[in-house]
Amino acid sequence: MKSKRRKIFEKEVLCHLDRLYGYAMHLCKNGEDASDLVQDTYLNALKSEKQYSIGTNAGAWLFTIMRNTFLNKIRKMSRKPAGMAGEWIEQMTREDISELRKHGPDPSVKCLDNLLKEDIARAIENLPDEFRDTVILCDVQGFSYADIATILDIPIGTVRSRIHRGRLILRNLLADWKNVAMGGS
Amino acid sequence: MTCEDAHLSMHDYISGELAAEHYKPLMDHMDECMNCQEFFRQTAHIQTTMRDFMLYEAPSELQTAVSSILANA
Ligand SMILES: [Zn+2]
Repeated sequence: MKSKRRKIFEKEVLCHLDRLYGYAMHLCKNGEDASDLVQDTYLNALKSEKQYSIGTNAGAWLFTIMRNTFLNKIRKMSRKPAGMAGEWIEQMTREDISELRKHGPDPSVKCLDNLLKEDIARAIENLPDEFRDTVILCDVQGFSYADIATILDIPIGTVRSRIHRGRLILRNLLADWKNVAMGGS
Repeated sequence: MTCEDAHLSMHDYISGELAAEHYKPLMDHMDECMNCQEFFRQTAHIQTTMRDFMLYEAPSELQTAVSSILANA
């Protein structure tokens, strides 16, 4: 017979299944690996069930477990996460931001309506991992800065600046493509 | 409020993290500044589109698998 605590625990963790699967799809890039990762995440969550206080933040707790599970997996396969921010992206965002400071946002970028799924997907793929993770946790999964800081184990100020810069890079990538598609310069 | 400050505030606003006291200055700035207003609109639009595209529903086999993991533990 299951305890009352255990029943509540199951309910609280189960309602994050779709979100976890979405994040796993983002981490693994395919449905099969994503499903495996979700199951491993639940197994690991059960192992550390006692560390979780009922009625607190099950979402952030599970996402933290999923991220660690994923990192352990790729460490075992001795694969490095691809695409850490190189100098170019540092340079690019530095320039974008100093440009922004001088002139405000570029008013010539006017054609970002009707974005296509493929464009968004491609732009997200082009973001370096650390920006992409942060933007997805915030903009897709709807986590607070504090939760994201916990999940990614980084300071909250870093979360905030990665979100600002990540969104700016996304927008500029999309604007560049749209501009080319519309025959602009 | 400068455009730079407006940018920090509008990102926080879009993230649902803007402190209440910064809300009015941000809106006042955007009333005056068409560039910031447009940038805000675009950034919010990208966010909504991204969210629409990237939300998934777990496949039913996975739902079953997870339920049995929880049930049998
Ligand atoms: Zn402005």
